[in-house]
Amino acid sequence: MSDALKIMPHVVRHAAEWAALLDSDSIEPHQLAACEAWCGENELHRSTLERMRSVGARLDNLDETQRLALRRLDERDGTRRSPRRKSIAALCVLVCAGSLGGFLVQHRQDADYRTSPGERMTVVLADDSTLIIDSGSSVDTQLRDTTRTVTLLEGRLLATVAPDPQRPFEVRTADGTATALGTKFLVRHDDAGTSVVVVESRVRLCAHPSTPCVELGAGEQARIEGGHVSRAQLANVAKELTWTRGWLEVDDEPVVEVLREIARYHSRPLHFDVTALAGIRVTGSYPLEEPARALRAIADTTGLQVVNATDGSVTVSNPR
Amino acid sequence: VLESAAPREALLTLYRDHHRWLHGWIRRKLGCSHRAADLAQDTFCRLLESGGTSHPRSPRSFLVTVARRLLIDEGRRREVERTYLDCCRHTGTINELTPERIAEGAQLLDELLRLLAGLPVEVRDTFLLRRLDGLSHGEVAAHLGTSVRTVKRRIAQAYAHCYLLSYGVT
Repeated sequence: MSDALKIMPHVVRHAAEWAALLDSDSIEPHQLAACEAWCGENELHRSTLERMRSVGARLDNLDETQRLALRRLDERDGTRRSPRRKSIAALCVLVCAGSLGGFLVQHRQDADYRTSPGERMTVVLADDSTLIIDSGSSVDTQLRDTTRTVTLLEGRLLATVAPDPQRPFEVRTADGTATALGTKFLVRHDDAGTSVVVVESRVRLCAHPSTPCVELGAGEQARIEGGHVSRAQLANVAKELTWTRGWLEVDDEPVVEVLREIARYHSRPLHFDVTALAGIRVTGSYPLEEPARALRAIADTTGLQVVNATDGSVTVSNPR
Repeated sequence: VLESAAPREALLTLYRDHHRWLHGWIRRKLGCSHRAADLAQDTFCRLLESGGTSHPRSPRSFLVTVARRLLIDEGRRREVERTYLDCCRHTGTINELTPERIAEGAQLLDELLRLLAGLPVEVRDTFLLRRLDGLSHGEVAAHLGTSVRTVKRRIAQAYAHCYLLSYGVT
């Protein structure tokens, strides 16, 4: 069998349907005969189906240990249920950065990790810490003998940090620094400043330039703005983390805010008139990976109109 | 001869001028000089395997792009290996392992994860429940609260995706 097999979309589609049918436990004799007839029509049909099924066989051939490992690795993937790491789970940081000054912007092109709109990336650092990097973000990492620094140039990230008393772990934005003192925390940075939410344990928060630092405990949040750190009301931690699983969860919030968030995931321009939509609020869960579906869902509940222009841009407007 | 000599020449120049710098860059990322040396070496090997290179306009940025990909790959591989070893301890098969078998096992898992990575979560769940856990289509449907028809459609989607990734031209 030659390696360079032709890829014909309709053959692949049919082969996949047959593969799924053969995969099921109840296959009728006439279906089996039909499948055999399809394979007999053309050598390409037969080889495509055989190769397709060999992929499934690779999973079947795994031993018990490999199955377990694959399950764990799959579940650990950042796009899925919240990863619980027994060995590490020391610290979680969620950082969001909006537009920053020119100095940092200059460096975005050279950032270690960059994600485009709609893309989310999971990175395991050399010290075993993990970063889940949100759509439209730029992140730099520096692991040294005495320090571990993650610089968020733009966007948002969630870091699960491996404990290492010799090397503090800190997340920097243009506004300030969040240093892990224990387990889990979460940071948000927008145009005006940076907010930090502690998920577990404690975090020290310091503004640039140095002012008195603030220590936060679990469930607490604070904001760094204009060189000062100030405490805010308690946070809804679970809700803040939904984006790591690809969802935007909204509880009675201005539709404008929600559209801004969805725009970050949309690869094409999303237009809306902030003034015309002011006062409209929404509640719901929206899939960030499918911005079009999210927009449809919002349109359904609010009565807003979503129009796709021929240039690919999308406009949300109020028909009333 | 000329055609193959030119890229190699360019690679030698890159190596001579920037190898030390690249090693330093990776060392700062990893905090470990030995592994940094390996990865710097790997970066140039990767370029050699890919048939050499012309003179890139900004050589360091070019090298860093290649090295960064290797760093990400290495991070993944370490994660996969560590998990595999954990599971071997768990299933009591750790004593049967040799370094080769660990590497083989981890590579297989890594390849499968790459195949599955691009699938929507619900499709991946469906496919794994069927192929990994051996549930029937009906059981998968009950487990996920969906119809058998949907299960079949998702499994077809998974097959097509894995096939295209394994055999398709990218």
